[in-house]
Amino acid sequence: MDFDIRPYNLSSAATSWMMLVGILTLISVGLSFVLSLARNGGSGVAIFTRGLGSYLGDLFSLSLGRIYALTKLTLLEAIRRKALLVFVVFAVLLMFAGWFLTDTNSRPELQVSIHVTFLLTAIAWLILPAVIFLSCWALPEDIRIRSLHTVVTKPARRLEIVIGRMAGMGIVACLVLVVMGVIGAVWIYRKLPENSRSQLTCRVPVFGQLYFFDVDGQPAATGINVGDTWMYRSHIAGNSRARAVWMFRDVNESSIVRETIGTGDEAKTVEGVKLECRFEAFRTVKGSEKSVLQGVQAQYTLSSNPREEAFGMLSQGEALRPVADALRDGQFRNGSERLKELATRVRSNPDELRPADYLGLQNGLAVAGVVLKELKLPALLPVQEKFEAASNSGIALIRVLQINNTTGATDKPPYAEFAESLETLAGGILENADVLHESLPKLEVPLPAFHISEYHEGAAENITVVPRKLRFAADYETLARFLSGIFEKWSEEGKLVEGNAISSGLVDSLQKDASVSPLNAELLVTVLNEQLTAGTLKISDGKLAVVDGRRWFAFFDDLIRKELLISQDTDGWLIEKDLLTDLVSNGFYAS
Amino acid sequence: MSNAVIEIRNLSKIYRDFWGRKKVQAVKSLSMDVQKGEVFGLLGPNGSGKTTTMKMLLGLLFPTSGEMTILGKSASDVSKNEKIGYLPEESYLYRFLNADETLDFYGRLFNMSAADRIRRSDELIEMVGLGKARRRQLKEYSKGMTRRIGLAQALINDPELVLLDEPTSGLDPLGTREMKDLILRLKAQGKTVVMCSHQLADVQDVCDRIAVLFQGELKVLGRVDELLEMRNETQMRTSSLSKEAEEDIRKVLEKHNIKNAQFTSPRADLEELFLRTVRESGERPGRRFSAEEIAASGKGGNA
Ligand SMILES: Nc1ncnc2c1ncn2[C@@H]1O[C@H](COP(=O)(O)OP(=O)(O)OP(=O)(O)O)[C@@H](O)[C@H]1O
Ligand SMILES: [Mg+2]
Repeated sequence: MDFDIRPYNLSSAATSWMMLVGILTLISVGLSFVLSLARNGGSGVAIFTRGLGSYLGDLFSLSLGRIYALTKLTLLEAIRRKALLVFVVFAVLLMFAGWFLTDTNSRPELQVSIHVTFLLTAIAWLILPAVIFLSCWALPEDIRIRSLHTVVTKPARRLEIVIGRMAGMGIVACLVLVVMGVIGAVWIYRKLPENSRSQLTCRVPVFGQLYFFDVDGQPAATGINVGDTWMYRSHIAGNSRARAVWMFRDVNESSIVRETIGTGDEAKTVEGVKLECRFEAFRTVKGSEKSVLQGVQAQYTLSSNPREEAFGMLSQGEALRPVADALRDGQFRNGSERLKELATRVRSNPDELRPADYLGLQNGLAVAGVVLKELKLPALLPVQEKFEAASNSGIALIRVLQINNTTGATDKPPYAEFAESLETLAGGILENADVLHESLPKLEVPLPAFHISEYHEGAAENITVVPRKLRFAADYETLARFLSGIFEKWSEEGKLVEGNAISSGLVDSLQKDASVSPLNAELLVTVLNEQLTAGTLKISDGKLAVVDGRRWFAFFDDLIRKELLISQDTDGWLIEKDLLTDLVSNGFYAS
Repeated sequence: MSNAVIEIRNLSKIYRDFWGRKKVQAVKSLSMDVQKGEVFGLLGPNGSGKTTTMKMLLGLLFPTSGEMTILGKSASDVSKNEKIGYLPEESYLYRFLNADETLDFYGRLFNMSAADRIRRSDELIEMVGLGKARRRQLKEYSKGMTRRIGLAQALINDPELVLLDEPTSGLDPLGTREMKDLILRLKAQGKTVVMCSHQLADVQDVCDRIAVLFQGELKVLGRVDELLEMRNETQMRTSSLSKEAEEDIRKVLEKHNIKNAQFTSPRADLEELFLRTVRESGERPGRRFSAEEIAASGKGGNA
């Protein structure tokens, strides 16, 4: 059994429905054949064929008129025998439910869900007796009081009777459902305060893919199975480097929702991506009562790291991990060095690596090639091609290794060629380090920590709206690159200086031309002025430049590291800005 | 015989319990025919298998053995029902429908057109005298009214063959009279009627032929007039005789050596036949009686 959620597909659903019906038909036909043989012995065959024939005859001579008559009969029965009294019960329930349900001021955020749950439960519980009564009245009652005798002595076929009765019941059930649904919807809509109505809009879940990292922070296939749940619900160890990572691929503008949080004066509208999840905490050691009641602290970090996706697969195998780690962290120079070392090892001492390592390496190279290709950035093309080439060369190597292994042949594996392709790749990475950096920026947003309440209660739910305006913490490098890109260019163009001071229009042009948000633009100009006064910047030849001939990148890198790029009202090292938007409009994202 | 509407050959029915053990043999090797255009009466004491026979003819029960055709078709053939009307022993109708809806429903089962259905239900409701109650639900009906709507329902399709299981039970004298008239009217229209009844006078009035069943066995089968004819007696009818005329006739009869002349209204009727058959069947099980035997035993019974 797998629990993956797949999109609904009508044609495949229809096929599997038909398969199921077909199989059931075959089974029942087979069973009745066996039964007929068992009951009637040899003549059972004839009896069976006759029965089958008459059934097929029935099937092809169905009369819609007769089916309709029986359907109508069932409808009338439902009305006359007061099955629809459920509506009255429903109405009464709704009238009085108001008294109990509105008193949820203590948990205003639960109001909507309480109302909806109540309504759905009420409908489910009311439709059940309606349908049960109806189905008890229909055929069984027909047989019991023999009204069926009168019907079957008319030219009504068995199949028509069954279909007609079922259609009638189906219509009644649908009617009840529709009427209750509509009334219920109106009732809920009017009952709820205006600001929570938006919650009634249904949400389309975006499911992520789950990856695990074990207590040492190393990738793991699964989490820990604590033994009492399905495997798809595994756990991670607390207070360790273990992490569970969900990868979402389709989060974009359309995932953003508007929602009002809180009530009364504290109500505020948030716009953002809604994260909803359920947790279960499980304790494997005995602890004092106190520690149990303390619950567990948990935290999300939102991150966008295309590098993880591209180079994560390289980390299979001990020998390859340094390369992967460096590339993942955006240390492309370092990564290139490690790759060169690896190439040297392959060339000089190829047997040191196991065939599995080669396989893993080739695999990782191929994945990197594909992911880079999918980004569809022309700038990345040269690197991507080198990854592909290395992967192909890896395939050639693996093939020989496999042949040798299975046939006992002693062909010389093309280690040298592979090493060479790795060296070429290392060179390519070094050459394109800047491009790689700019094309694969990493963003990380730690969200406020939350509490999973006492574990023996089982699960805790967490619903977070990740606001659209976030304090995004891009990693140092990305930020520094972003800013230095802008300033290097404008400094060349002399746009930064006006007379002997920083241009007064800089705030404006940062907003207009570089799409930096107003707050950030002001912050930047303020900090630049401070730095000019402090002497790390200078104005010469009408150009603003960093002293000692240093580059703008180094300047901003310094600023961020020394936590100088912080506005008064921020409470961390985070730079206050709508960085996501800023970066997107500056081409950091190619979506 | 091409004229037979119903042909029954060696029909037997054994009711079995859940485990297949024999409970009752309701019908034993029954053979008989019903001719087109006749009114056929099935008689017999309670539990003699009349209803069982009728249900087998309709395909409501499967026979244990034997063969039968009805309107030239097998009993299990649904299409035969197009031309059959059936009034069950008790009216098995939908009690939440009113008379109009009931007839409309059964009319639809015959795929009758809307106009036909309306016309036909008006006719039938008029005929069974439910005009005033046609909009009331059947659960409010009295027993007789239920019988009446049951009858109307049986005739909705203008059937060729009408099977009536105790048609007069629950009807008032007027209703009984009307029912008999109706049966005769159906006969006049050339339809075939098969009925079971305990109201022997009624059967005597309307039936052309009867069969008497006893414990599932056919005991008597024949034309009513022949069966009731008393061969060893002669009945004379005149306008009522004066005392002197009676004496004169007695003398004439004595001259011919006929002694026990009685001057009463004749008592030999179906009731007597019925009682006799049942009594003798009890004494001599397993025998079928001929018309002569019955007539002959009639004398003993009378003496
Ligand atoms: N469903 C049944 N299960 C078992 N036995 C049955 C069933 N129906 C009828 N019988 C038995 O079959 C025999 C014939 O019954 P049937 O109803 O045919 O009699 P009937 O001649 O119609 O009697 P009545 O004059 O009372 O209507 C009876 O002994 C009866 O007990
Ligand atoms: Mg009966």
